[in-house]
Amino acid sequence: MKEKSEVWQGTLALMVLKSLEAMGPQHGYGIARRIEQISEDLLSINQGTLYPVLLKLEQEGTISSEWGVSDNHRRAKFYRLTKAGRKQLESDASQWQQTIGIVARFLALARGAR
Amino acid sequence: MKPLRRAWKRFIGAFGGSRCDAQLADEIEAHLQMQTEDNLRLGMSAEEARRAAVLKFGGVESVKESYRDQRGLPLVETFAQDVRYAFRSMRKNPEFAAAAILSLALGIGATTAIFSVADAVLLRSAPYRQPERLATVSVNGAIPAPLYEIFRHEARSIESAALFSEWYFNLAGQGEPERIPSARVSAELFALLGTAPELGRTFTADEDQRGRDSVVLIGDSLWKRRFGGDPNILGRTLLLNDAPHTVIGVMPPGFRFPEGPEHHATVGPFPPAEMWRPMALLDWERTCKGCFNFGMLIRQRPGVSPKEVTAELTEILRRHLRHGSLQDFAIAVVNLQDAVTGKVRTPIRILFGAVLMALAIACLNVANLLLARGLRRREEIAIRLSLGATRARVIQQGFTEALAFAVSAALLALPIAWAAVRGLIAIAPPGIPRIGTAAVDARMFGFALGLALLTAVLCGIAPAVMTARRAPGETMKTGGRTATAAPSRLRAALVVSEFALSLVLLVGSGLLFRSFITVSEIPLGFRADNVLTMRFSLPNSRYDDRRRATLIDRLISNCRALPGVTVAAATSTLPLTGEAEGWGLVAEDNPNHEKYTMVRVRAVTPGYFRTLGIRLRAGRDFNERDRGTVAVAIVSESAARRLWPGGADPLGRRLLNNPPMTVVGIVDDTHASGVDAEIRPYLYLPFWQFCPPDFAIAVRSASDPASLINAVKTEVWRIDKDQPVTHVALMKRIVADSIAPRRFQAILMTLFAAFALVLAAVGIYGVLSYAVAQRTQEIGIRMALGASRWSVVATVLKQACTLATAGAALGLVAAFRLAPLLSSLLYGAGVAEKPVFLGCAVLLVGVAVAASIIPARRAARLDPITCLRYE
Repeated sequence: MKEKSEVWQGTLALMVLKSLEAMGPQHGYGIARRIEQISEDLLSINQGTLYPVLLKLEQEGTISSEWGVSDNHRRAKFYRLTKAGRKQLESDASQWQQTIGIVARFLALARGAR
Repeated sequence: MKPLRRAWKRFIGAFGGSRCDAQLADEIEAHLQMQTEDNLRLGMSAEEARRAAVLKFGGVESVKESYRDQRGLPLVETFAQDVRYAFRSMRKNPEFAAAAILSLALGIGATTAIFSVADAVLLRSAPYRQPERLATVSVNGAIPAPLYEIFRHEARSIESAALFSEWYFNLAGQGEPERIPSARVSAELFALLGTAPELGRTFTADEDQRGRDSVVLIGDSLWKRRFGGDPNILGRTLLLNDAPHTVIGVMPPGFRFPEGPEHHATVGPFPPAEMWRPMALLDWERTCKGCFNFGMLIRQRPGVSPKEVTAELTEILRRHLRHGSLQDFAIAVVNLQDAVTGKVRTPIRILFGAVLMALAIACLNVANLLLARGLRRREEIAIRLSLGATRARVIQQGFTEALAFAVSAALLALPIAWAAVRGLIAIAPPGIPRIGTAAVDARMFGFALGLALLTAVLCGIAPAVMTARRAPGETMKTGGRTATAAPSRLRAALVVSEFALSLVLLVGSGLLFRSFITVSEIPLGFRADNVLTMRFSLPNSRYDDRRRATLIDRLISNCRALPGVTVAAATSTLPLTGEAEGWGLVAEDNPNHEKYTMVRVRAVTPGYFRTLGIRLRAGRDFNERDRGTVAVAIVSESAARRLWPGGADPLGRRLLNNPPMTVVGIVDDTHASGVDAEIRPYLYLPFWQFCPPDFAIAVRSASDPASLINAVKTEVWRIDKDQPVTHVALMKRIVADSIAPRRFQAILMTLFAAFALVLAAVGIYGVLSYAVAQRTQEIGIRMALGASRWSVVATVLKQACTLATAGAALGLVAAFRLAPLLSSLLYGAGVAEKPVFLGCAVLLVGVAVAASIIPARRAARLDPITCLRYE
């Protein structure tokens, strides 16, 4: 991994879904903070890039949104995971696990061969 | 499922617009504020906290942009945006937009209009069964009934045949008497054409006999106009030419046989018939071998060509010929469609070709304008590319703008086409068949629009493509100043083609005008000034020949007594109003005695020659003495030469007709069958000997003849108040009408040429202005180094002359090649009019120089200091 990893959209979408599952309804800033914390700042994203992803997920129906009030009494848009989103997260997560497993085994094999 | 749902959301989102934008802005703002607050808690200063928040967020605008792209359908939205942009830039540069749109609109409109007319006149085929097998047959322009019978029975190449001739019905009773153009036709005609009546039936063979022939068919237009489309019209009795006739059928709309200028040369152009009666030949008509009074229509056997029919008929004629030689008879078998449209086909095709050239010039011009604009914008495009616009996006914008131009032009072109069709119908010379049915043609409009669209699109995206291919930095480095060779060469080529095409049109219009002037200067053989004419008839049903001749005499002497009238006369036909009847005559003392000579026959009253100003060369005019038993005649000069080719003096010699006629005078030839037509030999007879029921009155006045119209009409109606007076016209007008086609062609061609010239001027102006603007620095340097203003002007003018001369040279080559196509429309020297070619080329270069004066002056006025600073 070179410096701080660039994040591609699919991964980001998965992270958003997982964050919402863990935290319950949350606004964009909260999601961004969560992703940064979990990745321990290894993963630095322009927080702005989150919003097109949120829009896409909402259009696909995996999340829904409504305006609400944040902890410090600020008006913000809250996103929540839908039923379809939960299903999506499950299948995506297991797919990831599988991919990671395959890639890890492959890399280990390659190293051994050298 | 998901992609579908997303597509739907996006479609909905495409209409959210500003509300969604505001929500997104709110959301982002909330995000930034939360981050700022967290940063403050970490101990940053207020300013620093906000800045860090924004940094962390990334480009707000680019987020909004990609958010927007995802929310709706970017293609649709950017399209709308581009359209708005296109119209805004049109408003910013109205001259440019007007020039481009107007030239395209005029090009499309004119092309559509001319094609619509051509389609109505030439292409739409007549509503007959297998029209390609229909043809007219004529011998020296018409056919006598006996010859018709011979041809019909003996020619194996003819499947069936019918006889027809012009007729007029005076429809009286119920409202004003009306003179209805009609036709006498054989009963076989309708079966031959394959046209069934809309109502009722057509003639039976029995009704084609004298005595049983008082039945008529009426046309759809007449039925609707005069009888309100009454379905009970069948069996109704109409008073026609004072005799009762029974209506037995109504012909369908569009049935207008016979029509057109060349059906029947003897009678002249037919107005489309609205009533038909049976031929029912009279006994003398049936047997008269010299009466070339009829038209003959045939249906050829399948697979037979008009040429083969001609050959067979010639052979038949040879067998039957007793007098004279075959060379004296010109047999013509002409396809019906050709007969109807023959005379107008070439001019219409040429005009269509011309208008296509004008359209091509319009397209070239728009190409030129759009390219020029695109080039000026290269820097802008480069900046946008470097700011992250994709190539596709930039090209898409060029495309949209071009589309906006073409669509605007199309919207403007539609009313132009409509008005042009109306205008063409209004100013068209008489005698173009079916022109009244022309309407804007959707196919042609589509074609012209497509061409315009293609041009606009190609030229609209070309600059974007060219710029997008290069690295943006390169274009910006040059500051858009340096002329890149390729587009400049392309634009020069466009201008040269514009000039070449313009020259072709100019030469065409020049040649047509030259011919028009030549023709209008031809001495007519008569004087048309101050002569009023009108037609009138004293029908056979009311008057016999003797009574009619007496009434005509009385009418003429009454007219002469009117104040202001110098002299008046009557004649069976006036010059230039169609051909007079043809007779074959044998002259006494003619070396080849047996030979029939064809002459045109015209009945006249004494004073006719004075009224029309025709010079009496020898002998005398008719007078009272000729009322006696001795038949007399006056011959035209060319008739005298043909009847007595040996040079014998015709005066006092006889023409062996029944009874024989003594020649008492010789008059000048007149251009009676057309100003530019060949002079025909004429025989003049007094009304006492030959008195057709239809005739014309001519009145020569000392002052304005138009003021006499009512007085003369009153005199006419004192003779018989039930007869309609028709064709009231000044002789001058008749002459003008007869050369109207030439004027019409010349004017249209000149319009096209003028249009082309203006476009070419705009084109070269654009190219030179651009060149001057691009070379501002160079010019400044040259002036700073001591070049005079004149040499700067000369540089610009030289460029103009080079382009124009190249265009003119190419155009001359093309014009020399294309001019022969015009030759059938020209008169006199025709294509050989070299001065016209040269004059047009000089004019063209002159226009180029004139158009380059403004850019040249702009170049000369440049201040060297400013130029060098110019960025």
